[in-house]
Amino acid sequence: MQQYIIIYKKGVNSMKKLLVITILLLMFSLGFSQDTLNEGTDSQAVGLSTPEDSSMLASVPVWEDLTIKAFVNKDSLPENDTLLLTVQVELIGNPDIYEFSEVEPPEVSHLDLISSASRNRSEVKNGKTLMYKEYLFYYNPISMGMAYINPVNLKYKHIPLDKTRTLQTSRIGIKVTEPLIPNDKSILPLIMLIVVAFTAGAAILIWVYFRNKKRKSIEVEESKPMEEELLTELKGTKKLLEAGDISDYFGSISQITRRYLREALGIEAMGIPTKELIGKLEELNVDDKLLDRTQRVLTVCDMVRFARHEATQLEKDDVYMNLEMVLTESLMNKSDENRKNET
Amino acid sequence: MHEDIQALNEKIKKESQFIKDITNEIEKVIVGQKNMVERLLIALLSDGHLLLEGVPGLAKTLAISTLSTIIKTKFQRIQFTPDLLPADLVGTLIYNQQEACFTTKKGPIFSNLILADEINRAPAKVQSALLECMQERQVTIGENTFKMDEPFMVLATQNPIEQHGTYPLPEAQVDRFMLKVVIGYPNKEEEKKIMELHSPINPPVASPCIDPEAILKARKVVREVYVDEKIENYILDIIFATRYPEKYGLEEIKDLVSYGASPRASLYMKTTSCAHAFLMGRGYVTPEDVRAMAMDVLRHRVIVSYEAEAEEVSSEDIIRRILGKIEVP
Repeated sequence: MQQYIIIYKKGVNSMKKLLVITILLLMFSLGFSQDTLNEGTDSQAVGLSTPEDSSMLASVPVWEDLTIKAFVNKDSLPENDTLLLTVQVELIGNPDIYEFSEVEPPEVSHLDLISSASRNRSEVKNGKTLMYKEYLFYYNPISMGMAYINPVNLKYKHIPLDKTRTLQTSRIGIKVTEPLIPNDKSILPLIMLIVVAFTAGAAILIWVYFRNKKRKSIEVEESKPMEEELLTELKGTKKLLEAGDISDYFGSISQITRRYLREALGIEAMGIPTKELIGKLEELNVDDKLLDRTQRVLTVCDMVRFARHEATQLEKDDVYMNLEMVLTESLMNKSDENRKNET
Repeated sequence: MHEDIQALNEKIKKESQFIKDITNEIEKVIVGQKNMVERLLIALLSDGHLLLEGVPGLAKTLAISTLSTIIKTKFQRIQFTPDLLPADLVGTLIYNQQEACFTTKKGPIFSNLILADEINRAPAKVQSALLECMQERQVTIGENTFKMDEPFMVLATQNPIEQHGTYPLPEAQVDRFMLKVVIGYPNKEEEKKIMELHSPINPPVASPCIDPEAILKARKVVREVYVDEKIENYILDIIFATRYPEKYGLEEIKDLVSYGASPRASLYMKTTSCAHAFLMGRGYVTPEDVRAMAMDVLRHRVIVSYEAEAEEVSSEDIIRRILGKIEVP
């Protein structure tokens, strides 16, 4: 659609006025638009929209140097979007000859006014001063369907002629469509943020879970007496014997014995040879039974491991039983002590 | 027990009988110093040489001369001085006017047991000549090469005090001594016994009881002593811990060691452990034997850094830490 702006020059004579009216009537008869010029009454503007911005435009022919336009930024509006209505008053020449009233927000249907603003600017074009006053109205659609903005009225007075007129824009219709889902670019950071937050949360939960689990297992292990652990290991050495790894069997027995002595008596039993170890036990005045059993176990172990001694079945059973008795007795003594402490 | 080792045990028990005779005879003259006497025997049985460090008057000379008497071998004591020449040690060629030819005059090195007293007081060329004899077991004078008599053992002494004007042995030469033994003062009881025993009227005398051949025979038996692979690995762990302490969880001594023990240390550790087992009447080596010999084999081979010297950390401290850390097999 085309946009027509009809300007009335100020100080026109009646002949010119007649000529303009004739032209307007001619245009009206051609069906383009209808302009009325009634002295002391309002004036009609032709509502048109530009194809480029799809905006609705209304222009009012008044005196040739004063026009009013009303246009919206969108003719189709998603339900979750905001509509901007701009009402522009343009004046060419001397502004002092007019007296304006402020533009009031137009009546609307299915729209909700959320805010408004106004601004002024001026420029010189072809030696003429142009003055603009713009009123901005922001609306939110209420529901889907058609929404309408009723004509905007501007009442003004031509001071030299002492005549009052009203400029009016045409009614603007806006189609309110379904709300739009935010495009990918805009939600991408949000999605990433959610994913990161979720991942971090999940990681923290997993960490807390495993930490608690480990703590519990450590607590369980701590509460388990050392002798029990060593007895379990001792039972495991039977597999070596069954597999025929005699040297490894006696090696394991020797290691378990030394570990027990280290834990129970605080001797660095892992780093000292048998003879030295027995000497330390004697220095500590340990129980004769323990000394004798330890000596028997470690001596046979050393003989098998370092002197290729072929241990008899009796010796194999003997070292096992001696160590088992050492550990079991120690465990029982511990239990007795605990019971005494409790009572 | 494995039949071979059982037989070896029996053999060793039989062959090592003379050890008791030797120690009994030595104890007649030397009071205390059991460790020194034991190391002397180990060096003799392992065909090695001994570096002895101790203050004067600790019966070093007496011990080796007594040992020489007991095993019926020749003994020479050479006092090392700054003006000593290699020819004074190994011998030289002397012109014989009657026969109009050069004849070889053998030096004091041609003996079985040599006491090189205060070896660090002689210049490097004399030290070098002695160490060459120790290593090669032969001496070349002029055009003639002479083999050393067997058994041949050098016992060199170093005085830890009065170090001014001495020629400290280089590390490479110290490495040729199988053992370095540090001896200390006897305790009060021992010293009282020394006073009682060594009266000027009736000084104690050891009697010869075995032939040198018995020593040579015993050396062969020592070489037969069984060393299990686990023991060999234990020895290697100790030696490698002196070189790469950080690999054995001893990061704290990494900067304290300049040089670790040489491969010669591994060999000597094994040989002396066998000799130690022999002395104990066993046909196999145990970790006790290794640990008993570790200090004397390693103390002159682990070279400490300046940092260690500044912190007054000795090679003995480092070896102790290593032995405490390496688990016995």
